[in-house]
Amino acid sequence: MRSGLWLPPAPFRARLLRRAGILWLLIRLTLLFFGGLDFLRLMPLTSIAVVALATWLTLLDTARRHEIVLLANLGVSRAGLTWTAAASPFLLELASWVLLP
Amino acid sequence: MGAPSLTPRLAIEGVWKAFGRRPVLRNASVWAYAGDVTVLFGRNGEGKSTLLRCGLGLLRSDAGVTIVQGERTRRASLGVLARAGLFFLPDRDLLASHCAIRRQFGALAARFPGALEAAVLEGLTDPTMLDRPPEDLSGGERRMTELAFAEARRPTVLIADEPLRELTPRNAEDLAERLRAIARRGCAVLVTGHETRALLAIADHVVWMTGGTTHHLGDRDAALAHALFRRHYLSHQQPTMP
Repeated sequence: MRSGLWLPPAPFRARLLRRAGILWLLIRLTLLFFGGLDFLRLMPLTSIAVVALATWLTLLDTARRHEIVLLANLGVSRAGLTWTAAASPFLLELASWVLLP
Repeated sequence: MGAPSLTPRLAIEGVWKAFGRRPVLRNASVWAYAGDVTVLFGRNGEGKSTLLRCGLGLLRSDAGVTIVQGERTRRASLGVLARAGLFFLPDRDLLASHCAIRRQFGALAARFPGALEAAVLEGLTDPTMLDRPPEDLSGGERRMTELAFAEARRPTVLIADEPLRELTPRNAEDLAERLRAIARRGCAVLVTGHETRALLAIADHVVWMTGGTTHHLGDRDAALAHALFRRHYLSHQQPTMP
């Protein structure tokens, strides 16, 4: 059997990336709302937690939309799905580190 | 009764599964053979879907193996099995509800070339449906489209969990015939359901799940002659065979 990392096909990949990005933004806004400006300060552990939470919520949302089985039928592995869900939050968090003072 | 002596294309064997302290599966096994339809019957809550989901890696089993075309795996993954030609039609909502069907067929065609063309050219699905999202279709239309999607994949193994649910008797018979046609093209088809008339009409092998384990009853005639199966599953509804 063919193993390896198969990512979701284009239309689903774009949706996953967008949803994950929106969830990352919502998490950051929630932290800002409840934690104040202190939570805007970038700390490695917070960043890791934010990326992990956004990834987990994206996967939950994908399951809620019944897309897990469809994607699996298209050959997408759990790892491929997880990496795709993590990509946007990771890049956005990375951009924050680079761009924010 | 043991399994038939053919070499199965798919085997899900020796599956044990408990939810908390409640055992659901006890050494359950099911096989699917190229060119044949295997029907898995069982009362509600007996664990038919659980057995399939454990075998496909969608649920973690306590024990058991999945063997596809001779390759044995303890931790199956539907994604990996799908690349080998397996397709799983779940009991509901295969297609993403918000996304136009054409785009989803397109994704299938991009991944497994030829899928969309095959679906349209051979009239597997109504072309006017292709530009609508599944949420705009009736339950029956959605089910027929989902089967078209599965068929378009040209799978070597098709597992369909209650594919005839929510269909009218006539539509159920049509869809059952399509499942048989898929099998006759060389695919190993494994189906669950309670529509005894339509499913027994296409069954080459009947498996009865009761008490958390499976009993391989043989072909349709052998199943209909099985006293316990008749008494405990079919009850008074003895299907009239075509």
